[in-house]
Amino acid sequence: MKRFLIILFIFGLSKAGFSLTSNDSLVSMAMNQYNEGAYNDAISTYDQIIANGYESSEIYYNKANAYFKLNDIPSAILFYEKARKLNPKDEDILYNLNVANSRIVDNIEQVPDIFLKVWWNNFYNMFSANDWAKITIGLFMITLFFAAIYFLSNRRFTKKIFFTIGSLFLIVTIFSFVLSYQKFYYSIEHKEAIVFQPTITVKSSPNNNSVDLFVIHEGSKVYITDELDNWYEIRIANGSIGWLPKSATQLI
Amino acid sequence: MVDQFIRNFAFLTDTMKKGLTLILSLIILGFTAEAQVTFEASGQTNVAVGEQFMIRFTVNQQGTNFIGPDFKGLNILSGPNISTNTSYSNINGKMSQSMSVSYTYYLRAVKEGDFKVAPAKITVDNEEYQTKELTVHVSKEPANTNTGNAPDASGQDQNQTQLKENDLFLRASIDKQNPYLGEQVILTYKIYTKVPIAQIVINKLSNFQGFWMKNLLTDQEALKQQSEIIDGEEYVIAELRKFAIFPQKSGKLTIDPLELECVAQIRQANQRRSSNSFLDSFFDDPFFGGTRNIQKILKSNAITLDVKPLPEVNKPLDFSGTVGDFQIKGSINATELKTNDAITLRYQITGSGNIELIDKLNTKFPSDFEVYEPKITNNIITNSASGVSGSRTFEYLLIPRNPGDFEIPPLTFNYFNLKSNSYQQLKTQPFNLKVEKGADYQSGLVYSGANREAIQYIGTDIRHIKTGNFALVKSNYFLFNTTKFIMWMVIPFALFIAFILIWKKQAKKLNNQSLMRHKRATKVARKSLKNAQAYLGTKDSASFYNEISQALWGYLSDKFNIPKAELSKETVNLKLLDKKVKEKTIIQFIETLNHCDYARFAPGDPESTMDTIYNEALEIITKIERELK
Repeated sequence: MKRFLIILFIFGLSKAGFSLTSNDSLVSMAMNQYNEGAYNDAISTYDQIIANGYESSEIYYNKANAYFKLNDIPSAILFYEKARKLNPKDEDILYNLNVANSRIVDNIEQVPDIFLKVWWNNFYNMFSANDWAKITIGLFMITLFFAAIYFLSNRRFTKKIFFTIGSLFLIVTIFSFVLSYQKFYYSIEHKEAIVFQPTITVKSSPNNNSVDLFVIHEGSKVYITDELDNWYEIRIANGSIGWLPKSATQLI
Repeated sequence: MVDQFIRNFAFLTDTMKKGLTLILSLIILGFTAEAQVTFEASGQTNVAVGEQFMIRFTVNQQGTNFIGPDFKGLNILSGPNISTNTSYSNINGKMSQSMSVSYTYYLRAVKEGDFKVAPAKITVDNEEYQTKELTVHVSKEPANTNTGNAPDASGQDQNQTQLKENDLFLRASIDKQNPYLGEQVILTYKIYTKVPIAQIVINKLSNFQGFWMKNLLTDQEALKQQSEIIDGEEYVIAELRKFAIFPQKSGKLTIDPLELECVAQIRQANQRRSSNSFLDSFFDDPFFGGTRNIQKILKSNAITLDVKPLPEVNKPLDFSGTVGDFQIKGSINATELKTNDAITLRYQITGSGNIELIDKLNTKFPSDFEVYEPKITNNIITNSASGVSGSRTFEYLLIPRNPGDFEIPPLTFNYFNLKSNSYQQLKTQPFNLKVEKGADYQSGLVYSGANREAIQYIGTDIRHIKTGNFALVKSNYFLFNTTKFIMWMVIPFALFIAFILIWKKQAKKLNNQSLMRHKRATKVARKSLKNAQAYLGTKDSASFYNEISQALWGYLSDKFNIPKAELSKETVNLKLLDKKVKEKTIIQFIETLNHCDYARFAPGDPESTMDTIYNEALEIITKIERELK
């Protein structure tokens, strides 16, 4: 039992993905290429790292920068969004994404979110999916600790205090668990996409013969609400909904 | 220009016609109606598309009620124009008079084919006359057809003098077939002729789609003649038009042919049958009748250029499409100045090529300077041999607003050098400026004092890439849905449950033991006391006291669940107080213990003391027992 636990503990501590040395050299190679202005080379180097099965917000961010320098704004936005998904609070990512978004054709007016949603999003975006999972584990451990004290204490006062603290922690843990789940779901589900076609007409139904609703341009971000055959039902930031062919977009 | 050409080439033939009309009108005499009525149609029957021609109906009597044909398929430019000629002739002393009335139509053919001109009708002396039907053959290519004053009023035969194909032609030529994008190509239109030319009208100039062009010939230079012998025949050649053209896109570009209409003059010997008439000799004069005007439409060849794109290799980022051979020179009018003084910075680009297309220089000025839009002046020289060259000057007006030492960095200018076939960068020298505080620096401006200057953002760019080491994570690795995560949740929980259970069990066990001891405490104590009583009988004082002490301490330990090691008089006191034993009883208990300890070693009658101690011990245990209940 004890040995099993120790093994489990070591397994838990070691990072699941430790970067290989070859990847490290690729990272520094890409950095040099970028600094020399060989943006195309830098992009292919980053692609190699991604093809090796590794990722990080920094890789996506750097790759997006290279695309930006090549004036491929839609690709740059796509990769800034990917970087943001992994690291929602990074100031550099947000700044550059903003710069890139100012270079696209469409200026879609954002519908302001209600206060509670903004607050929730801020909270939710404080950590990445994996960090939220780790936080959940930590909180769970603390809850268990307090629960143990509650159960083992004979004194009534101690029991009372630790019951309160323990219950509080239990609530927080459940909350964190829900967040982790949501974040995880958001990470695996691709619910957002970037338009890659220079100009595309959004249709009223998944059919080429349907009514043209509005026109959006490359680089715009759309939220995918449904899909059918080769079509996505999308919603844009101002709340308009329509259908787009899948080929016109790339998932974040 | 054209006038000069005409003067150079030919004689004005219109004068002849005017002269004739004048003379004829002077000698009008009587009229004898002995001649038979003739009504004839004449005119060109072989024409080219787009050519202007004439159909004339002539009657030799005064007629009325002229009805012309409707000329289906042909455009009527004007007509019918009526003219009346009366001629008087004196043949062998016999005077005769003739008259003719002509109805002339000017027409233009718009499409190919044969067109029938229906007969025209006229009434003379109440009798109707008709002309014959004419067929006009319209061909695509301009034919060498006769025009001008061809059908004479007298209806004489004409010598069909044709203009041969090689006698007059137009040719377009370029100096290079395969230029780079933006490279200068010289396009020349030359006219080659063996006959004098009276008039040139350019109908259609090529449209230079995809080119930027510059005319190279001034009016004076145009039409300068020279002779050249081609295939043994002497031609007079004139350059009609000459352009420097700069292709603006790569690939195959076609320049449409130039089309012009010219009137050639052909000398005609013995046009009229010779007679001694003074009129004839008058017309034989070369000034009047020796030439015939032939109208001809000339088309040059179309020219196709295969424009090479500029190489992509090593193409500078700020290359703006300037191709040629250039020099750059920068100059400044002052390097030491005071704030708010204006300085003029001039960049002059000199060379040959599409210099006029440079519209912006890649200038960088200190951001504190006020910079105005540059004044651009051109000094372009067009030379018919080498094309476009010259200089373009950009004059920048700069006003430094703040004192300090500034550097205007060197200006770089990239162009494609045609000599070396590579991109070349020109650089001016940098300028160092020393700006001192001017007299009005403090006063007028808002830079000092309360209103401090906010930071001015000169450009926006993305932030730099992340450098240094950063952790790479396996893609699509999510802790949440791994067994590891579940393990981290389940195992601590299981441990927690196990721990609680074990702990509880252990506690229960401990509890049971002490309960047993508690229950047995009185029994054990009484047993020890009984043993002590036995020792009392045998007067073994050491064993007696040992037994008494054990009875008392053991009772406490068992009754109140105090480990034996922790037993002392202080703990006893505390424990008993905790169990709500009366203080008096506690004191008595401790006293009994004390008596027991002292009595062991105290002198005196051991038997009576042992007896007292025994009773005391029995009493106190009973008392505590009673109080605990």
